[in-house]
Amino acid sequence: MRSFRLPRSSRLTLTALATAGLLTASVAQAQAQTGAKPTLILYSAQHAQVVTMLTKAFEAKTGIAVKVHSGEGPEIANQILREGKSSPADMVFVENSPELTLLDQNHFLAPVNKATLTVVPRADSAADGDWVGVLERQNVLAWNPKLIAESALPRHLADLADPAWKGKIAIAPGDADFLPLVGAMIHAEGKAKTLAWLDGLKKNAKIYQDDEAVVAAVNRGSVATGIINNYYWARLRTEMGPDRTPSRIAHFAPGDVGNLINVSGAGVLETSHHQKEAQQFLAFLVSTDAQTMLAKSSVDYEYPLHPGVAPNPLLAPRDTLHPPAITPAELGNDREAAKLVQQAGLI
Amino acid sequence: MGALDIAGVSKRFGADTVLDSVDLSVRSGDILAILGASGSGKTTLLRLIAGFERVDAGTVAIGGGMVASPTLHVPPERRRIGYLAQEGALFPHMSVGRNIAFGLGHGRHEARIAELLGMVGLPEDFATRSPHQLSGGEQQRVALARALAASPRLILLDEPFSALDAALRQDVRQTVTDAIRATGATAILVTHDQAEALSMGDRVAVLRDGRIVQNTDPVSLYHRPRDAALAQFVGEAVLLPATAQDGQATCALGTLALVEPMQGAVTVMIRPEQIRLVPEATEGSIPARIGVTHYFGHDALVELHLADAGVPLLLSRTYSHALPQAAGPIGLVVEGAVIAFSDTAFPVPAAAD
Amino acid sequence: MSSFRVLSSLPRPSLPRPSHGLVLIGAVPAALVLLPIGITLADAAEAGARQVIALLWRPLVGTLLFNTASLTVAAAFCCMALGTAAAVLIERTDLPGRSAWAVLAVAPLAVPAFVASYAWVSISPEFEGFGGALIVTVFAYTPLVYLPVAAALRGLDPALEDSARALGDTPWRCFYRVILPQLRPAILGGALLVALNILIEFGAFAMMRFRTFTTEIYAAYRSGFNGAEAAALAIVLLIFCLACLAAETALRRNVHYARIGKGTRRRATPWRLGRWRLVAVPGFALFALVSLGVPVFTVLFWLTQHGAAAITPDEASPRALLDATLSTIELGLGAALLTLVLALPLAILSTRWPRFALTLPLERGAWLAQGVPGIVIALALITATIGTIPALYQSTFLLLIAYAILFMPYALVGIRSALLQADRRLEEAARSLGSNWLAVLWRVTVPLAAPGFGAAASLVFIAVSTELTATLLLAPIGTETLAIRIWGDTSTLAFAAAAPYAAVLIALSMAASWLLARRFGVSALHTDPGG
Repeated sequence: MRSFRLPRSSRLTLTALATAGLLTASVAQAQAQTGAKPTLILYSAQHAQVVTMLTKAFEAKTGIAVKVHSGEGPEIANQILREGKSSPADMVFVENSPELTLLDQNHFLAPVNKATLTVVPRADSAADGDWVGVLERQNVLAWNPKLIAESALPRHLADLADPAWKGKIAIAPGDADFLPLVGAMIHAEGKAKTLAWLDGLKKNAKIYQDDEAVVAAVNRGSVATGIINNYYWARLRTEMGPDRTPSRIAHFAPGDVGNLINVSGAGVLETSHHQKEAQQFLAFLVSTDAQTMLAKSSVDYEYPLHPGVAPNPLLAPRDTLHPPAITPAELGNDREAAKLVQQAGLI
Repeated sequence: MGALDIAGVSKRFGADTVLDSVDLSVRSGDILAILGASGSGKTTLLRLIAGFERVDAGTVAIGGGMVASPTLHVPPERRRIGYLAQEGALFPHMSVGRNIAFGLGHGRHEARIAELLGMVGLPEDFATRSPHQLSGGEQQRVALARALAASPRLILLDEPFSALDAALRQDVRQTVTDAIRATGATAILVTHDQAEALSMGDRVAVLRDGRIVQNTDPVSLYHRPRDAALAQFVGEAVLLPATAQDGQATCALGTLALVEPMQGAVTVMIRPEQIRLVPEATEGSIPARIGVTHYFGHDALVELHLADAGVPLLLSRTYSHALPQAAGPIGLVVEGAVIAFSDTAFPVPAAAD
Repeated sequence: MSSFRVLSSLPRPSLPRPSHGLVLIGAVPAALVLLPIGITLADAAEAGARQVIALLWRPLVGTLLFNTASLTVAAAFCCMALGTAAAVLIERTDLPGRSAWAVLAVAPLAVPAFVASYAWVSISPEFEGFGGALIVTVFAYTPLVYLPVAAALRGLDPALEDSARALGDTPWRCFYRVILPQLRPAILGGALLVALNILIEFGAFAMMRFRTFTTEIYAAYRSGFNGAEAAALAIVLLIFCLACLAAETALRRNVHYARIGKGTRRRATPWRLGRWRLVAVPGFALFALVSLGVPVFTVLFWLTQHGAAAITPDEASPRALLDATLSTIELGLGAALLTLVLALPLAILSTRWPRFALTLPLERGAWLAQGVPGIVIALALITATIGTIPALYQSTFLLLIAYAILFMPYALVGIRSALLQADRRLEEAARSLGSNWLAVLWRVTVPLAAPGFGAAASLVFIAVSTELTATLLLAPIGTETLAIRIWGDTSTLAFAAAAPYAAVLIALSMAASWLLARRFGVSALHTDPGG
């Protein structure tokens, strides 16, 4: 019996090893099947549908396929940092500039082609030209007219820490979009005042998981106001229709930190083996075709940075936004912001 | 009016008639054994008496009070019965003491528990044990104590010994009989074991295919069964074709006295213990040849062949000390009167050579 | 899995020591399960005790504890009530259509909780939060109570009830005094499984925007700045999960199941429902409607909505649907094969050398997998390979390893039962009848063991195809499974786009579960670490 049983188990062990070997081999083979045109790998924190539209159009135009790895901005930025030189990523495309600043500061990004950089306003890309701005969106206050009068809305973002706002404001401190706002506050007011503001906000605010939840809560009347990026409201309005969207959006006083504009940008990894094709993709992102496609779709409610392309009519005109004068470089890389938010006990 | 009166009770499960117009009465203080093969309906009859099932026709009265009819169903908990299930069915999450006191309501019952434990032959300190710490026989004794606790007027025993080892069975059976007699309760025992039915019952009712075939005392049942099949069911039987004339019947074993006079072609039934072995050529004996012997220790069944190959195999029950030494020729003598059945179609076992 | 428990009580032949090689490969499952736990602890240790305590001593952790505790208590209570009621009605009453209800009562097991969650939030955002999370968990996990309670009811000796009735108990009093106490271990065990599943669940709560430890660990990972935070939360979660698992195991070990004897058993007389059936039948219909009808009909509704008409116009192309389906099936089959292969040596060890000193620890180690959440395993595997083992990092093989860790207990249960079926004594009998080992293998061992292997493979396949967390975090770039698609589309409110994927996933899972249940009985759908 013993002579029969043991060979069986060892044969099965061999089968196991062979299976493992085959699986690894097939993965390696799939990775090696690059052919004439390479397949690019994009680490994206932009919305999946936006990216799908863009990569399909890019492939149709150039014949270059793009595989997408999706995640939150800070997640993929830190993932690239942890992956180091062996990162499989060729390009990175995120919603907020601090994540690109972080990668740039750690020398992970290759310079963007001059021709690409010149398409969009110079101030909306990296100062050193290592990433390019593609789209932008603004921080706004969603509010529900059933719960609060328009005249009672705050003039400044800082006002929301006032005890008068207790229970009347919703935030999503865990959403990647919240950190740039804190970064802007740090730049404008300093760390101490920002922490005090966050402490006040913590006492006042109802906490939600993300901006989608904040705008939904305001719309259904669970809370009077909420800090969001403008396009979440636009998406909700498309989803619910005008009749079921009693909520509206408001801006802070001109130049207030609360009106911060977040730049969504893209860069090419220095470690990419397909620099030429990756730069092609960046050029495509800011091209008239791509920017028009984004502006016209009802998927994405961001402002195209191409000056010749008009934004979606559901959005307030670009020149009515009155953002604070803060450059992406001044906004920093989110690290300080995240520390303060955690210190305040918001995440 | 008896302790239990059943009249015309029928029960169907779907298209299957399990009980067919059963009539049965039990005298107060008697132990009635209901004997039947599996599928005869005996357990269903017990469950109808207990109130676990409803009757389709007929009536059941306990102590003169009607408890079941097609329009009446007194639930089991209001029938004041004791019920002893096949394997005791002790509640596994309760101690022995709590099991016994289950039907006694609130209050302290230590004394009663001790008394009942004593009655079933168990020490008092068993009260704190868990059922799974007990042997099968002990479980069955506790289950009996539980069933007797509230002094029921009628005790129903559902094959209570079938799961016990043969060695234990007799002992537990005796305890149960003694305890029931001591309380003076009326009891109904359902069993498929004829020895159990004959030894425990004051009366034995045989159930076959949902009908009561015979309801009598054990001795009459054994010696004067109603038909050949019943004869074989309640014990070993030698069945032979015979010709009867008044009080006598003539068959392969000669002319035998009949218990009841009969006429014409009949079947006589001889119990193997009535066939005695005597030395070959003893006067008045029938010559035969010894075949296979089945040895049981205290006695033995000896297979016998007559010279006439047409006669079925005969059996003789013989004390083991009187067993013939070797196979070979021998003489047979039939002792006592035998019973004859008018039915002549009976299974004839093939004669071995 | 009662059938397996019966088998495991067979007397097993005791043999000399197993070979070192077998022990070594038999240790692989336990090592794989302990690996993520070790990595998580190491991550936390790296941050230092002070930082971990600071990270845990936060109001957020209080919120998570409150959320988790309140949901667990509420859901466990509801599941106990519904599961027990369903089991009693189906097993013990004359409820019309019992066999159909018995199938419907376990069918929610074939609908992944995150798909049910998708269905509810797509009906209205009002369902987000505690209410929706409670609805989804109660209806997804009631079978975890129903199945063991139904099995316990079937195992109860009807004579217990008869005896209690004869001793003067009314039916209700008898239920309360005799039946319920004996169902208690099954009910509590089921409730602990519900608690464990709530602790482990990620996708359903993330979609409901209900914060629990798993969603917050995921958020900490996504925010990217603090690996220690994810590790600290993971340790708390691990402690709760392993405590549930230990309690459940201990509970089962202490049960002396009701039947003391071993004789033949009569089927219990069904209780007459009478007028109660006017409550019971609509109750069951409502249960089926909410647990199955809502996910299925919601998905069907969204299927009929053209992409543009619904929220976000990301069309699900037939090509993308086919790709996702094939990826899901491939991963399911690959994981089933790998898991079975990894589990086999340990199963051989545990069936043939049950008394060998290392057998029990190695088995227990592998069983621990039931208490290690997918998110912890996935993050640990990323930590173990990122930047250090590029060949494994983001590879299909790593994902399959994660599946193997997660679902090792399923494979072990099936293979153990298979090997016990193919008893050594049968093999020996065949050898004595003149067959050589190859003939024995072909004519005796394989035919006897094959169903068990098939059941194990199917269980792993179903579990993998409906798995979200590890798949989401570990799927190689460009690999889109059905679960990933549903997740991606739902988090951007593209409910219509998610519908085809959800429809295929539900169909796949139901078909596989149906085949499994038909072949091996409904209880095969429910694996617990009883084996």
